[in-house]
Amino acid sequence: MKFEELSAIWHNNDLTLDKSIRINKEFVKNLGISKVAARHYEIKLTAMIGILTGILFTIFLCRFIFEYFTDLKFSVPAMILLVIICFGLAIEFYNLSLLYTINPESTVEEARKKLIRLKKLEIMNVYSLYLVIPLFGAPFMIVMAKAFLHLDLYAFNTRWLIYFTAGSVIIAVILIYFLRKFAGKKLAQSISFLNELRDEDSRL
Amino acid sequence: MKESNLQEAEFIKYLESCKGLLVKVARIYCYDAEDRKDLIQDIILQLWKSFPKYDNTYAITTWTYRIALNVSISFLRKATKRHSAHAGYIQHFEIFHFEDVAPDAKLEHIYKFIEGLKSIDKAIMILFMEGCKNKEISAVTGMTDSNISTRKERIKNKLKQYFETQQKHYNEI
Repeated sequence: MKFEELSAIWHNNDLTLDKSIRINKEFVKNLGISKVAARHYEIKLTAMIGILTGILFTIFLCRFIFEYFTDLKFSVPAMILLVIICFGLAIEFYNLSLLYTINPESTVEEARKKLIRLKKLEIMNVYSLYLVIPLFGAPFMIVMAKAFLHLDLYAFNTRWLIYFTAGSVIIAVILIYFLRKFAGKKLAQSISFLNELRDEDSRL
Repeated sequence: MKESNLQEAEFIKYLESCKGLLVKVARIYCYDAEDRKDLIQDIILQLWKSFPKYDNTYAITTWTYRIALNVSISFLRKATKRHSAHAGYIQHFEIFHFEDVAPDAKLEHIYKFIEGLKSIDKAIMILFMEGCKNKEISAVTGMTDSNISTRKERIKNKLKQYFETQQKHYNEI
């Protein structure tokens, strides 16, 4: 079959489509579309709440570090938490900025490049839990106990720290196992989509 | 007439003019009939959101293709918009009603061929079939002329191979 023939079949289909599709005008008139569009903002709101919580926690940590700056056994865990939180916040901001700047009116190439970044971030987020959970657990307990209960957890022997960190590694492995099992489809879709986009890059 | 009523009337008129285009793009990027309805709704929703911002820098078809292709190609719509309440709402109120039409065997062959292409090549193929010149394809995809020509050649070769294989298959039967 020649391309001209294919093109003619393709164009002939326009007439059939024109006749066989009716627009639900009432839906558009009743602003039904606007109502649905408004629902899309809810997802971005969740990300905003995440960022706000992160900022509040950062302020709390800065004050804690300032207060216990010379007491390294408390300031160092707080600094570790601060680094993790700042890293998470930076990623969340970048994620949100990508979401906001992917303009559906832009060219397909532009949108695709941003999408690649977004998908990479999505995949990285899941795997970063391997590192974040063990690093986060013990410092979090030390800082919270000191800040809210004025309790020095080092006084209970430092062995618990080792056990707690080891326990966190196990929890991280279990959590990621369940994440991959239940959210695995989404992750697999992200990876396969990313591979498809990359494929197209490598072919040129 | 209120401004919003006027905009809705204009949007309906615009949808009427491009409904075939939207259905064809959705048909190419979604094989499952139910998913396809969902994709069409998502494209229309995005068109409705962007409609007030359209400033005729680009032809309306170029603008429509950009949005339709971006929504279709990106899984973003799944990552950010899937919402059980939203899905239920949108399924209940379908914007397009389809009448049953007997499938065209030759057209189904074309769709079958396009199914095997990569997402960007699918976009080029649609625009190519619509009779768009390289410059118009470039305005939609953002690719260079030479890049588009290379891809077009590659698609043409694949097309030739595909129909030769099909022919062989029929001859054997």
